[in-house]
Amino acid sequence: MNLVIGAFTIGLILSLLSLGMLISFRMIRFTDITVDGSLTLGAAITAVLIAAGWSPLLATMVAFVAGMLAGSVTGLLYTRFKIQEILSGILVMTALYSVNLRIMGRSNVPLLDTATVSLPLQHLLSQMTDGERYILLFGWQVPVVDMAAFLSSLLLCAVFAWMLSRFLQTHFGTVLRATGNNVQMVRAQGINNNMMVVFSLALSNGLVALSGALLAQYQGFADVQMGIGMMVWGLASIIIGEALVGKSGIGIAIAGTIFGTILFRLLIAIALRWGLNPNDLKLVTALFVFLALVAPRWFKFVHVKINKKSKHA
Amino acid sequence: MLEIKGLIKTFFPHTINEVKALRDIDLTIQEGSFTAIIGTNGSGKSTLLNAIAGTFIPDSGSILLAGQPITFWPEFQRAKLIGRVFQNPFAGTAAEMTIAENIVMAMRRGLSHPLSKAVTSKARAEIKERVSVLKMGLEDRLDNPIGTLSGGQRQALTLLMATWLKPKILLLDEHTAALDPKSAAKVAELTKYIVDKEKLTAMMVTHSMQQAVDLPDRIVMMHKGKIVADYQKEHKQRVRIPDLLATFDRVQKKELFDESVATLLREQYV
Amino acid sequence: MELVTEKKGAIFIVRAKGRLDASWTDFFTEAFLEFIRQGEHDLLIDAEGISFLSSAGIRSLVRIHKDLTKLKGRFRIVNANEFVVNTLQMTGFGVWIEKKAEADLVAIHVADAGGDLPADCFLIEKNAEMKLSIVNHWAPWEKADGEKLKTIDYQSVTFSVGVGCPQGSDSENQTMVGDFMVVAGNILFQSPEEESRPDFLQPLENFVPKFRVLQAVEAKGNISHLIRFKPNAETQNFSVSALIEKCHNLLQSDNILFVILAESDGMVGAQLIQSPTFISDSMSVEGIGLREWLSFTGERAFVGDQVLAVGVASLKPNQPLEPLLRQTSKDEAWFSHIHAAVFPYQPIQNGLLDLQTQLSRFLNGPPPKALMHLINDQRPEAGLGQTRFSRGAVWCSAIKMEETL
Ligand SMILES: Nc1ncnc2c1ncn2[C@@H]1O[C@H](COP(=O)(O)OP(=O)(O)OP(=O)(O)O)[C@@H](O)[C@H]1O
Ligand SMILES: [Mg+2]
Repeated sequence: MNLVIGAFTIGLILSLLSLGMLISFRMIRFTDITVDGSLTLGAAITAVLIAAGWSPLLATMVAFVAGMLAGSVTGLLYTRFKIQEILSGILVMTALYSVNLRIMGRSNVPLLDTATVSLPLQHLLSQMTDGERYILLFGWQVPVVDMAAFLSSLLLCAVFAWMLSRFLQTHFGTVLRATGNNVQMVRAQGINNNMMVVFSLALSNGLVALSGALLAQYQGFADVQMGIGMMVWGLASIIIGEALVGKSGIGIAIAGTIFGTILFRLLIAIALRWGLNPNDLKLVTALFVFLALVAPRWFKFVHVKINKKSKHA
Repeated sequence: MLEIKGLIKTFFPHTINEVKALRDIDLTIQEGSFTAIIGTNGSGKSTLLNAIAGTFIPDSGSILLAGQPITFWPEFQRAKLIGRVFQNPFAGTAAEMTIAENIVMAMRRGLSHPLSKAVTSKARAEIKERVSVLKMGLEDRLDNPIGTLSGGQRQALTLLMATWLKPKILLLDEHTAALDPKSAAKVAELTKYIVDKEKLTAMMVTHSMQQAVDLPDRIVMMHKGKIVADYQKEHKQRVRIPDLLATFDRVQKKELFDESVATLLREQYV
Repeated sequence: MELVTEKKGAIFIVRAKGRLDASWTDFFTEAFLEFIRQGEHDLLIDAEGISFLSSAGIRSLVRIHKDLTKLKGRFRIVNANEFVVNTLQMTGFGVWIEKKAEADLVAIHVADAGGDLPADCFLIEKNAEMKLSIVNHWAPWEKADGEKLKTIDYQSVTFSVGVGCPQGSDSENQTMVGDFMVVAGNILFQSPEEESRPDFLQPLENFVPKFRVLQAVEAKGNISHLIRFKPNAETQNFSVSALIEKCHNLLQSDNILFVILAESDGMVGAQLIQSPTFISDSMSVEGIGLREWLSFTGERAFVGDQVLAVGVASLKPNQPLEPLLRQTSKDEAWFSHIHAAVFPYQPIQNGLLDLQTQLSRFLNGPPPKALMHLINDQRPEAGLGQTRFSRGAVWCSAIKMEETL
């Protein structure tokens, strides 16, 4: 059960990453590679600030803002300096590697026995259970710390999902979605599409950094390598979500992304449990995304072939 | 209303691919007039419309729209003054978004897009009412993605969106060319209806001589980046399709008239 | 509907099979109008295979019949089944029906050739000939002020080509000098503006058209012969010089006036688009600047339209005619000056044709589309060659040269 709760918690935390990527990859159709860097950026900043004694909440918020900044830089490289979108992302991601090292001062910052954003909830739970260290959940003993982490991730995730879905249905959000759909049309409506791209990337990377901040607090450390492959992770989650519930409607897309992330995390936890070498994890993820991308086309191809054959017969 | 002076645009200047798309265009469009622009392929019709809409900045010349010098305004800034419908029915709407969402954007063309709910029930009622003018039954499908509509329906909606807020000028670039004959006729009719009813100032590029003769009250003919004929007022009323074809023919004949023809006629014409 | 055709002498037999109803009448009518256009004016419909005839079908037959009557042609139906016969008789068109036996006996109709003339040539007036004069002279691109214009009355015996303008009251009109032609007293002219259409002045009752000319070659007199031509196995079309050669063979004269009424197979010509009276002292018309003054067809234009042309041709032109003529084609010895007016297509009847009748028919029909000075385009490679005709008529007369000319 601890494993499941853990998977759920990480899934929820990474949902913020996936939601951020939902904005860049799906809403404005921007292949944004900054993600790998901005996740670490969020983690690094929070770790360093918390270690320096800042309040976890404040540290997390700073991480969010830093992520937004990173996203804006990518956006500006793309819109202002007309650098290809992938290259813009790569440039910022690469630069962030050094920035992150600078922030942390070394490649790893541990956060042992420091406060996290789930601390208030932990206190609350402790009070409710009269200082017990475990809570009984469906007959399982779950540590209060883990329960608090889970509940606070759930809360944060729900709040952000709700805000995001509301935001995307405002005038501004509508325009943002249209930017990915038809730039020409958006410009004809008097909208500065470049500004929309910059803003979307900022928001997206803000969420990614937030996810990184929470992840660092949950894991108890920030590592300069922790962002590597996160973009593919997020993409895999989005794809699973779309396969699960489809993408018609904003609410559905958001819910799907969250489910997808959690499910993907669970799958990985199970795979690891069954003896998958953690070093192979990224390869397996990449393979999975590859399959998810080509399978629909491949199925169509086979379908057509079969149809042709049956016609000839 | 619209005053264009000495407009010049050359694509790929000083290369072998140099195209003089606009050569010194002077054009004044009166308020409330409906002008058709006709001309051969590549004569610069779309380029002229794009110059007005701000897709690019001209090499020289000036554009004054509704008293505002818009020559160097970025495209999105001009959208406040300009409504556009493109040839491609997919160009004017966001396919994956619903009819209502698309229209809501058009309702605030050139205005700010605040953080308030976009498709409110009030907006919905207004959309329903105006969409029903199209008589396409779309008022009952406001929550369907626009991508599920036919080209004709999309083009009709785009037209409606472009004129939702009265533009200073409406630019139509072969907006019926990609439609089947029946839809094209319907959209043409709708164009005339909306332009008349809202008393719009409009420019329409078309390859349909019939449309050029039927819909507008002025016909401008372009060739090789220049205006070669301009039928206005009573001249426009007299113009029939054969006259337009004859003018096309004459312009092309003039082109075939090269040095060798000059030499020939100098010897042969008496 | 299936149509199988067969030619028996002058008779053109069309075997029709199927239902002649609303869905087939367009096809049927068009097919027959094309037969008529190709000169088949004695039509016999073998109606054995026609199983049904509706009112729309009858309308189509009426239309064909009307066109043929205009051309003095014949229209008959044989072998019709009872239903078709009854339908035709009840609707009052029984006269079209002919007994098969009779039709078979129709003698092969031979054109009335008249004496020792070759087939398709007709003598109109024995010994008729023309007198030539140069009414006024202007060589392009001399300066030409309005004072040089001469006013001429045109009588029905006059044929002419040149540049001039109608006599109006306003002074603007006076100086708009453009290409014109006179055919038997009918003046066809083109104002030298790009957008104007050709116009004409017809002598009616006591009205004698007046015209102010800057330059004109004029022939007065009567037509002596008519030649009819149409495509055959060897020749698809006839160049201007080929037609002149035909006239020459017939008339045995080195100087010829001719009027062509024929279906165009490609016109090559030029037309004034600015009045030469606007040529000023300070400017000379040079090089490419010519295109402000002349327009050129640029391609073989007006294929399929009906053309009325008038011209003067000479084998050995001498002064003062010589400067007004140009070589008709590269390889032939003829020199000529020809103007032509283009009319929308209208069929013309076979056999002997009266020029006056045809003129009034065309001038009173749909207006001319263009008027031009025919050019022999002999540029290397790009050259379009000379104007060609596919079928029609040429009226001609020998020109008697006067010493004093
Ligand atoms: N963005 C561009 N870049 C380069 N060349 C261009 C561009 N836009 C137009 N042109 C060129 O300018 C010329 C005029 O093109 P334009 O599209 O205005 O013609 P048009 O009159 O609209 O023709 P059509 O009837 O085919 O739409 C063409 O030769 C075209 O190739
Ligand atoms: Mg165009």
